[in-house]
Amino acid sequence: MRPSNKRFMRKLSERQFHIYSFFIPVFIMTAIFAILQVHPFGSGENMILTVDCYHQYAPFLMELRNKILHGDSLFFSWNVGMGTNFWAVFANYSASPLNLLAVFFPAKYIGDCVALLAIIRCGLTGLFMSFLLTKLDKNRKDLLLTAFSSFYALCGWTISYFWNIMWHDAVVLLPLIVLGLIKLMKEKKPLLYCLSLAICLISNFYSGYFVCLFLIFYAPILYVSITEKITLKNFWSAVWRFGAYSLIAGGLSAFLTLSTYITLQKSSATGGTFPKQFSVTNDLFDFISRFLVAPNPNIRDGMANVYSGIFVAMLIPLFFLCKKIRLRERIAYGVGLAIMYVSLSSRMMTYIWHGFHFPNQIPYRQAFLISFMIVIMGYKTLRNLGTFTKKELIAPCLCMIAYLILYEKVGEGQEGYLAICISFVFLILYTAIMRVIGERKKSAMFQQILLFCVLCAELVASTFATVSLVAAHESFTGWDFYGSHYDDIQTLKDESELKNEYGFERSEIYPAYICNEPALYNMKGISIFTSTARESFVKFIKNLGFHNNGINSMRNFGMTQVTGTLFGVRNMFDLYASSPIPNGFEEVENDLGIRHFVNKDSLSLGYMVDEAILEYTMNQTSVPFLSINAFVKSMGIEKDIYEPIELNFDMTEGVKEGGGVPRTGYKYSFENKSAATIVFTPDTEAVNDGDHLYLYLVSADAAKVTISDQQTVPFETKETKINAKTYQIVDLGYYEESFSKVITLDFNDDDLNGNLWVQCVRQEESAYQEMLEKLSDEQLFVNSYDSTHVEGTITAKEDGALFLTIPYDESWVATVDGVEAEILPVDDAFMAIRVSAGQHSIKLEYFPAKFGMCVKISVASLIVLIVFTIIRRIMESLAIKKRLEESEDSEFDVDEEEENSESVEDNANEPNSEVEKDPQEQSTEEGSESETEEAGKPEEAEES
Amino acid sequence: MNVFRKDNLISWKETRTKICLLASFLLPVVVLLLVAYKFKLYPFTSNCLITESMQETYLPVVTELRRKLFARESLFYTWNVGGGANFWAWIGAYAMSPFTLIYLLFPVSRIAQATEIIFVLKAATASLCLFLMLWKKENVVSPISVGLSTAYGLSAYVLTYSQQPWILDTVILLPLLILTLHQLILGKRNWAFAITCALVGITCCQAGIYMLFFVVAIFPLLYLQARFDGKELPKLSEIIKYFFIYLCIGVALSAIVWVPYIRALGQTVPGHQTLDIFEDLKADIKTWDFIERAAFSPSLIFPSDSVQDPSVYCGIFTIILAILYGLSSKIRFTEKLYSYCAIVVIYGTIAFRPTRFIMNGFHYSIEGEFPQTILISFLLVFIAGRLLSRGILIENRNQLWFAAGLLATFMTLRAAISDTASYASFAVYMAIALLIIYFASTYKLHTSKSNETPFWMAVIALAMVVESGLSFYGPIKEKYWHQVAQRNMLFADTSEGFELTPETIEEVKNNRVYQIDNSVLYKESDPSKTELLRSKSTFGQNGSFMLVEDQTSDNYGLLYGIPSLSSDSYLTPKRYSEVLRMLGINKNTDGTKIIPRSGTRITDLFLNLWTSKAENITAAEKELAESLYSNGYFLTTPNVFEDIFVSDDPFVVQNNLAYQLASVKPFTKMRMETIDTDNISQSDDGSFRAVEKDKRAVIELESEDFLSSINIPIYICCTSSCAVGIDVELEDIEGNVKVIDRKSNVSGAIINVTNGETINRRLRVVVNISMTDDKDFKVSVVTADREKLSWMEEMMKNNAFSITSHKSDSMEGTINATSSGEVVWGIPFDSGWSVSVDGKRTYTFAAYKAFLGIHIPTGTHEIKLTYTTPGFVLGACVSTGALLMMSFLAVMSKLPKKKKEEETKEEKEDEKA
Repeated sequence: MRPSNKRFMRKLSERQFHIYSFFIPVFIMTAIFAILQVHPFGSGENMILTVDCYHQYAPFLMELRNKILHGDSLFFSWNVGMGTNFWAVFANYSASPLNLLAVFFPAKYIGDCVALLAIIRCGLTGLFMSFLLTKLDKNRKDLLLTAFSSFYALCGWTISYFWNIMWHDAVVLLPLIVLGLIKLMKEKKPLLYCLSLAICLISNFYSGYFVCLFLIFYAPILYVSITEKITLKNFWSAVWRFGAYSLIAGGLSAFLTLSTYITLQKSSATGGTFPKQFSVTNDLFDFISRFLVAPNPNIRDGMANVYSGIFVAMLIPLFFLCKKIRLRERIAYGVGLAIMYVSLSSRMMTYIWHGFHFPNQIPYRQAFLISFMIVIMGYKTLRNLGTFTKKELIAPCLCMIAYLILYEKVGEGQEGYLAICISFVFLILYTAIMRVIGERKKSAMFQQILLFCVLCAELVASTFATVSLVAAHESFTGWDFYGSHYDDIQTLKDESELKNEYGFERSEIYPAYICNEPALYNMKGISIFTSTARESFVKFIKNLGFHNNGINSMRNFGMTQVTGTLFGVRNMFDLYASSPIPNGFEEVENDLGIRHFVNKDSLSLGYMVDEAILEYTMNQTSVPFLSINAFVKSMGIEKDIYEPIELNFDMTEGVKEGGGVPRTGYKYSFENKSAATIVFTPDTEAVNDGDHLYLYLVSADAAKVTISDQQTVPFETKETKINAKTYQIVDLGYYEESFSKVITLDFNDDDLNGNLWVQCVRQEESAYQEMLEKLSDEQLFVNSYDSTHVEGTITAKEDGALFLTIPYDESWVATVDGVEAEILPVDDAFMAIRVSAGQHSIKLEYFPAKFGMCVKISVASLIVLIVFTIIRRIMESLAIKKRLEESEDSEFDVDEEEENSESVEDNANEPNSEVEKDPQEQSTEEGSESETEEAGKPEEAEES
Repeated sequence: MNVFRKDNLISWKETRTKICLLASFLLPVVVLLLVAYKFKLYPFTSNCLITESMQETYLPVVTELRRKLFARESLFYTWNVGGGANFWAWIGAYAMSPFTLIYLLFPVSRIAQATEIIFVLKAATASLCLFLMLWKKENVVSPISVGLSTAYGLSAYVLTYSQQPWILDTVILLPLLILTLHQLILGKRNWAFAITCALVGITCCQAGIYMLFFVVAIFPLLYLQARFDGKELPKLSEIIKYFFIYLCIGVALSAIVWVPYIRALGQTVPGHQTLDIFEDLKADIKTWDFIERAAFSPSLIFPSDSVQDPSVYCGIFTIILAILYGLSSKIRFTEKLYSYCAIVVIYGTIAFRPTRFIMNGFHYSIEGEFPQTILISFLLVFIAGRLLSRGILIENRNQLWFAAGLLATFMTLRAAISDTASYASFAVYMAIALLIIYFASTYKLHTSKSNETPFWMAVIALAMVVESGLSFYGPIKEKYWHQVAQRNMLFADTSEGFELTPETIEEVKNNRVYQIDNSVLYKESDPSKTELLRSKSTFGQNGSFMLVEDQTSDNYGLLYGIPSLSSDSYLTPKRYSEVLRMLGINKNTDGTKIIPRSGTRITDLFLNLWTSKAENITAAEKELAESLYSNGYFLTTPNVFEDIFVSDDPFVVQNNLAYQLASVKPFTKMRMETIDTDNISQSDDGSFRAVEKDKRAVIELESEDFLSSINIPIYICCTSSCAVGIDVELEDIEGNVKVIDRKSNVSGAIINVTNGETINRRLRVVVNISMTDDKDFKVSVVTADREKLSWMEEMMKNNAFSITSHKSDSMEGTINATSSGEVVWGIPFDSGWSVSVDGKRTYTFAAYKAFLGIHIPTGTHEIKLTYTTPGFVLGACVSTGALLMMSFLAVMSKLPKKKKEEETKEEKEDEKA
């Protein structure tokens, strides 16, 4: 064998346990996905896209991919919510460097990409954790290192939120950051810490915030733990370095994080009120159950996902009893654990941890930090098991069994018999293993392999059960539906825009099951669901009758002919060929297997309106029809577009009538908690033949709307059923005199309560035509546009406002005929520019607000880091030189030698370093059979 | 320190085994006698504690068995239950215990007392068998082992299943099974193991699966124990080989019982149950509760004990020994781990529904929720005995303190979190006193001088016996008084708990209701009636199946030896029960029983059914009884495969049946108008639904037309699964209302309201419903056309199967067929029936899903029906084969030995020479 090959093999052998740490989580996750038939495994009918990954992460990943492949700017996207700041979306959802892998996956395979990313992240977590644990355990590497690293890689957080590709990077990078912190404190090497923390913040500033907060109290723990002798000097030195380099790391990420922070000031994500009273939400007794094997994955609500191996959890009491671990370290970790527990149980702390905001679902997002601490504590204890007696080793197992029995009896948590039974089985196994370790009769290798096998079995069992539970509770997406007909839609959409004389149009997809469907299909759309959404925009849209959550999401459900026209929605694509497309859209023939509808009235990106729109303020309490009337009137249309009509209520069940008039709607209150029905018909005197009717329902519960057009002679019934969402306008179709239109609202829920209002309107066709006439002849001709620029011309008949259907954003800069023009907000939701009569050239440019300043901070931080590094290197060289000079005169200082040798050991790339290792470590790294230490052998304390 | 050193026991060494053996049998008898004395039961009075399944099922079955044995009738079939039933399966389920033979020694009037004696014998034998196991397997003969045996023989399981004595044989056979298995492992008496297995299969085939599971699961433990004890063992492969061979032989030997039983079970509700693992994956019993029940006597803690709770308790000291077993260094860790795991696994099979489903023979428990609980009681005693075999109970004081601390902690926590916290302070004091005695005695055993040792062991044994007695006393006092009070409606609402205050005790005593007199079972209310019942039940006179209201037992037909339709056993054929329900003559809704209700003339004739309501038979009833012809008919309308159950309205179904029998539909629906409802909604198909559950609903219906005919038979039926009360009223033109009938709890039953004064009156039906769920219900009111009924009777009389002779498992008769067509009998279809027409065997089928039917050609035919229990022949063949196999193996095993002995003899002779 050639020397280079030998070297390679030796290095491979040295690093084999790190490699295992990567591949074991990868293998387990891959196998589980295969068992669950996740594409491309088995029948491949599922994708792991679920919860927000389905609505947000995957579409934004696709948007990122499209931007990269098309060379678009990352600052802005037309494909999300009529145009939104993508830089913030990018920072929040898709900035992880690993996401670059998406470039290699076509739209249809985005689910596969997400699955691969989840698997790779698990592997990397294990790998990085193994680096850290190796460092903490004096470079000892064996199977147990692999097992414990894998426990962190597949901790409760990971296996519950494996689909959460945006926060996962913090879990991955935390061990590297802490490793960097150790190097910073012990060896004064800042690079790893700085860079890993910066990458963490860049990957996702939100989870990076968790890590920063964690480091504030974990750094002292680490300091106490790794420092041999605490002195004032090294204390202040550590504090200084930690503070300075943390700031530098933060500064490095400022170009992304700070600019995003500025954007978020206008979003709903920063809203919230600090709780005034201290209250504890988690019962400690029940909280312990979260450490059982295969606990219930809490995704919507419930206690934190803190599982990190029941064996690891059992070692925690022993950690505090272990005399080989310094008392101060035990106290420090105890305090740390207490802080983490309070963080998970106090509402105040929850508010702080989640960025001064109460999270909407996905609770206790920082739970991986407690798993991290527990794995480290468990690992430290594991290496000192030899100091315990047999009884001491068995006691935690028995206590845990007793806990299980008590939990089953009095626990009020959510853990079912699956968790209890599996935990019980493993507890029995661990009891037996602890006894074997305690007896010290079997060989160290036997103990190690035995423990490793059971730990791996636990890993497989917990991961499989938890991932399966996630799949069962939240359901995996069907592979066939997601991203289907992507290429067909691109073709139709591009063809349509080429034909558009105004050069800009929007499109939407039915059924709108995915909130950010336009982003997924790379089309300019109106739907949006992102935490960075501008709150004022969503509230404005809400009052126009679109389905929304009132905070950060809206979809095309509820779009009418009027709103579709105003916002330039020209194309509607129906994937299932059965969706109730809003009336007014005409079907266009195509042979691509999907239905294509076109709104020929749709307006351009901008059009001239009355200046009164600048004064327009949406009445938030008004019903949508009246809001639309008011909004359109502010544009200069005189007539009301929607006219409320009187309703005749034929039958009501489970509700109590509360009166009302057509203009305000008819009020009802629920009497029956589980089901209610309202049947009504429009008053025949209030409607005319051919009238377009709409319904709006204000209720906390969505209704199933059945529209039945009945004709007696000859007998004919046409029935349409719509599962309406809450807060959306329902298109009732056209009224025909020969048919009686019977509308039935069915409510079925477990807990119907409160009031509901029903209002029906007819669309006044003459008003709609007036609106079209007035707005369509002064539209903006978009000559060119890209992600950050729009150029066009407009011919205004008279002075007025150019209303732009772009959500208001301070980052836009407009010029009219080359002169900068002020962009005026329309109720803080849309933009408008004052334009005088005549033809004008309009130019819009987008550049994130204060982005320049943020970049400067990042560059400055980088310079400071480089300077600091150079200075440190020079200082080190000088010190070595000085030491060499001193060594010629005097004996080598023992302490310095040890410190030096330790620092050299860490750098495994230097072959010469092995010469200076102590014999035990050296033999360990050589990988000989005899080197494998007893699993319970006490840590060789340096002072001994 | 070894407390069982020989020098300690030398004084009674020679006789100790005999005394202990005797004591282990007699002590349970004495304890039970004391309990009987306390409660004034047999033999101190003639009263017996007989309730629940004992009264409803067990006693009727053994009475029928006794009668059949004395009458030398076939055991395959009986007409006296469920319209005809596979009696061999019933015997297999209830009466295969060898103890049943004791009934032959008693007159039928003393059968209840015989049952009490059998119960005492079973408890005592269980105790004896356990002692034998400890003696022969562990070589433990001491007062404590006697105490353990008594605790086992009088464990909570025995008490709980005292009313289901057919299950108690497992308690006896378990120690024997383990002992014989142990001997098999040692290479001795393999046949004994096979025979014990066979006995399990024969006497308690219901317990087959879990006993089989237990034997297989305990085998490694016994092997380990034998190895750890340093016994000389054959090769492991040999042991395993013989284990499986003799296990299979044992199982096969009992095939004659369990094969027919399983075949019969397939037709019943349990046989139709399926398992949905994920739906059912939940534990019904919390571990804590289970430990609680194991650790303390029911009498000391629980107000009652029932088959709905796992009965694990077998003495507090057993639990203490089980804890000390875990702490003992004299026992290998592997053994301890295995033993505890075995307990946990068995607990798992009890607690979880899916495993219960499997362990109970692929259905959920039928009578008694957790029959395999005995395995845990046994294992606890088993490991306690194992500790005894080590000679010392504790090695140091710490072990005792640990056990005491554990129990104290448990008791403290229990007081805080237990669901059953209401217990008398006396019971707590007793528990504490016993614990102190046990711990103090164990401590003294550890520390005392050698000559004091037997005394402290005797103290422990005595305390265990007293504890066993108390554990019986409490539940009997609470449970039976409570039940009897309920039965006699002494307290209208006892669902919330029956409190034993001095006043209630006095009231119960005064009414003497706590003593169930055996005369209740066998009271001779009207000799002439019984005589008529019996005379009418003979087939020579076209005998009828009887329906007697206010019967003392649901299986009264078995009790009196009268053909009957009633059937209260899980062995009731599901289809038959359901079809009778659809015909409107079965109260039971889930297919598990047949609880007959009065029907119409159609069902009476078809099933040959005669209902007697009064204590003394009226002339009308007598006339009715004599008007019945047969239970088999040639159908005038062919094609019986046509579904007659097109509606859930029993009158529609009966009309369809009548059409098949006589080509007429006698019932006409009366047009009724809903005049008032309360809490009711009505759907288009005429069914009603209570709007709000758990609320009383009322509906009033009125006939649209005035009734003009005189004496029109009117039938009313309300199909509902809830409690229904019906008031039938007649209203004249002036609005005067006259109540003509008022019945309560008549859900699904047909009410005949024939009244002679119906001219110009409207019929009004007021239905009161206590709706507990939201199922739909219907109210049907029909009138019967007299002419059509007469025609139907005439036609049926002409087409009836005329019985010429009958036995308990066969029937012969003739029938006249005007064309080729089907003959249908009102008896349940069973594949065991073989029917020959004119000497030629013919194909049988399930007519209307549940009745026996055949096809015959035109003409008059002689038909013979013969019954052989399905699976009996197969089972008998397998059993015979197994017997031959065992004999062969026994001979083969002797041959080498003989050869070896001969060779040794020859060698010796050679040496001598």
